[in-house]
Amino acid sequence: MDILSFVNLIFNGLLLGGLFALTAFGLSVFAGIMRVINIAHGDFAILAAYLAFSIIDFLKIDPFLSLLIVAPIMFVIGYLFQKFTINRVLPMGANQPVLVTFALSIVIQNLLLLLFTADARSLITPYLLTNIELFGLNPSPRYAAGFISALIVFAAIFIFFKKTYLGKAMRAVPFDSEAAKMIGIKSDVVYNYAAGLAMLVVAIAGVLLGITFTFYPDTGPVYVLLSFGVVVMGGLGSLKGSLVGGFIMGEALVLGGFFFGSRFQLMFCYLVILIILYIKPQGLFGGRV
Amino acid sequence: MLEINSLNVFYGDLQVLWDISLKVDKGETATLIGSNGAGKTTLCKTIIGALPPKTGSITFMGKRIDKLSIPDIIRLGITIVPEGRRLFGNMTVMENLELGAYASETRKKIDDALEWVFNLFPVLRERQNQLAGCMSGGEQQMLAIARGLMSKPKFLILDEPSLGLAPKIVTKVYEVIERIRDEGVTVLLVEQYAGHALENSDKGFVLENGKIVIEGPSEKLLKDERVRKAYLGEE
Amino acid sequence: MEEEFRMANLKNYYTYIVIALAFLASLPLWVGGFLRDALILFFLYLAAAEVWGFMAKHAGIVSLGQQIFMGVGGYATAVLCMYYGFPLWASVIIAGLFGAGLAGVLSFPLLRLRGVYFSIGTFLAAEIIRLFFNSWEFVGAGKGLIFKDAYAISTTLIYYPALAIGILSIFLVYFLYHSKLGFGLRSIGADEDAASGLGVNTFRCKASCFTLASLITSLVGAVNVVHHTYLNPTSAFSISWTVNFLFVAVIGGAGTIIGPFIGSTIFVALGYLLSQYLGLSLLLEGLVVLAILIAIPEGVWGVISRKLKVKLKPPF
Repeated sequence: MDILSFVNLIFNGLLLGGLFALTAFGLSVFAGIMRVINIAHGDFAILAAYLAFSIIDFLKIDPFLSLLIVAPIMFVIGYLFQKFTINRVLPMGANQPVLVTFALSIVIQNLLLLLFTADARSLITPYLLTNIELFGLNPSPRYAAGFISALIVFAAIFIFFKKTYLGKAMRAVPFDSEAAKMIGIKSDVVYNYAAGLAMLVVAIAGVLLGITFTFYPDTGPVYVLLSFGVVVMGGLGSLKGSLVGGFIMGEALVLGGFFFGSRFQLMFCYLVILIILYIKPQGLFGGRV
Repeated sequence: MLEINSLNVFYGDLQVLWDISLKVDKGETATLIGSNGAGKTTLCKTIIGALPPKTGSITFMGKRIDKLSIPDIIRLGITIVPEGRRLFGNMTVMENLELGAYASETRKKIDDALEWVFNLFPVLRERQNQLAGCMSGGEQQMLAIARGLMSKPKFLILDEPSLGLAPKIVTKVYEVIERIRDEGVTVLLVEQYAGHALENSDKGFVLENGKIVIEGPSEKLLKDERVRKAYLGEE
Repeated sequence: MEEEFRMANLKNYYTYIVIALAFLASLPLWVGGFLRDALILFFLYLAAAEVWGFMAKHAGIVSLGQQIFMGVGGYATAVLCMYYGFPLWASVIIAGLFGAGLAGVLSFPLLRLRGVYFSIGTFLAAEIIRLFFNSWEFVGAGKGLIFKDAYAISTTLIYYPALAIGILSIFLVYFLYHSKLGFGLRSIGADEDAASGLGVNTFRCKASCFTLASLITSLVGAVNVVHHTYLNPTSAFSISWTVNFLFVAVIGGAGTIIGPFIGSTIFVALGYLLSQYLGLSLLLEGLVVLAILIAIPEGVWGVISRKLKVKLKPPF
């Protein structure tokens, strides 16, 4: 393979990394605030993709437009999920939320299987299937869309956390929930909104994933593992870290495909995550849940 | 202004406060003295609404507050500066102050409150954008009190404001407390070492093992043998 | 206010235990083929759930990768027997030991991970292994293996090893709870940092527990392949194994010995009722587990023992 093609590969890996970062943001926000790693994270993303699929099927609109409906629905789902499930089991010990999110993952996967069968699905955006040429490189339009979306979402969340009362409360509660309580912040309510926000981000990621890759009811776990890898590399709760981790993960996937073939690229990524965890069990930047 | 009647507080089945009754009038400064484990912080938590009492009542400006939520009580005008400062070290001075207004009406017109607080604590205006976790003990105490003031409270509870601070800093803290009193805020000081607190207050209550054992004007308590032995570090 | 534990002294119950064992051993001789199948499943799931539940509840180790050992136990058995000519039941035992060995090796990358990181780590490892087997021509890659040597084995014959593994798992859980290792594990489950500060070698304890539990799970996987005679990476390393074991443990009462008896009965019954609808049974399991985790986390046995005011010597 010549130099230009290789550079093209690396460049696309970076763009793909943006999409992975976007996918991981939701997990990072959720875990950073609630201190719970949502094992059903990937399944929620795929749920959003299937929701978009249904809406597109019914209303015949563009996938990006469908987000206007999918995102609020997912926000509400996240809010209710936190309120009636996670908030209830948080006091029961550190492993209870693990079991709950795992059970939820199974429920979502099988519900989707029941409703949509095991056929492959995709969100079609014909205008993103064209060839772009940029300075001699061929960036994949769909990867680029994911990358740009990641930057937009990143900026939006950053502003939200920095400038709004609710955003600041979401940063205060995980730092010291007792103190937050004393100054009148109800952590339960903050958690509900944080979960809603996380699911909103997951919805955007899910639709973009659905546009970029085919999906099945059981594709969820792939994305939670990759997102977990991103978060492990970038640090829990750190948005900037998720960008860095995402880029690394994107490169790992494309390089894995290049060196080992498409059959083994996912396995390669998983091994990379496991090796990083072996070297640094707390993740590259620490921050245990 | 604040009236507590026959308050009994439990942690589960364990009783920690017995039959507490006390009154603090508007404009007064009162001191609550007690050693570790006597129940001072428990009483503070009960007043602010973090802990519901089993029996008894707490009345603020004529209104029963013992069954209200913390945000509601803050909105009525009571704020606590918690023991150990409990700042949000991952956030800036400005952000900590802004959160002080979170639960109250001032969050809509926060600039007035910020001005007031910066005038009381000029050092905070300088360090607005510094991370709260990177300040000295004295500065942190200033910030903690300032954060409490952001809700423009009518009644401010200070839980151990002198804890862990050098004597020079403690003096400065009490100077600020005096200025707050001058602005009309009713203050409840909660301390283990009672010297400064009693010198700067009108009346005091001594809490031992969850019961009020001594009460009276601060001048009298300063001269009281039992108080001097246990809480003023005298032999 | 010391509460008296009933069944405090097992010795008093020896006669009952012997009678029960004799009864269980006699079962295949007079129950129908349908029930024999059910009994095999019952004891296999019981064993796997006992050890999963113990790890999760008492040692604080929630494994989401039990399918590693189901698959490895199954493949090792089939390969040893068909490719290397080992006698069938010897293959089963060796496969069990091999699985335990694998657990020992996996302890190094996995058991230094804490909490949910460990759980995800086990799932990660399972996926890596599944993907690997999917491409490994030696074991038939995606097409899998047909275990011809096991065709001749009757369900009656399979029942006894299943029963034995079930009984072994109960002894193991009891031993793990009451031994010095178990004491260390329970202190880790309560507060790992504190335990480590008190001198407990947390890694060694957790690794020992994980290895022993995986021995059982691998044996379950081995006997399972003798029973089903067919193996492919997708089903052998499917997450549904963990889901099923989790279901059996949680619904009955995770960490108790009696709990999984209740759980396994419900599971086997449900399995027969919903045998055509694989997706539906998993969906139902997930929903039920969710409901139990939120509303009655102590499981059916927990509720029963609370209502009847019965308190058995732990970990019963």
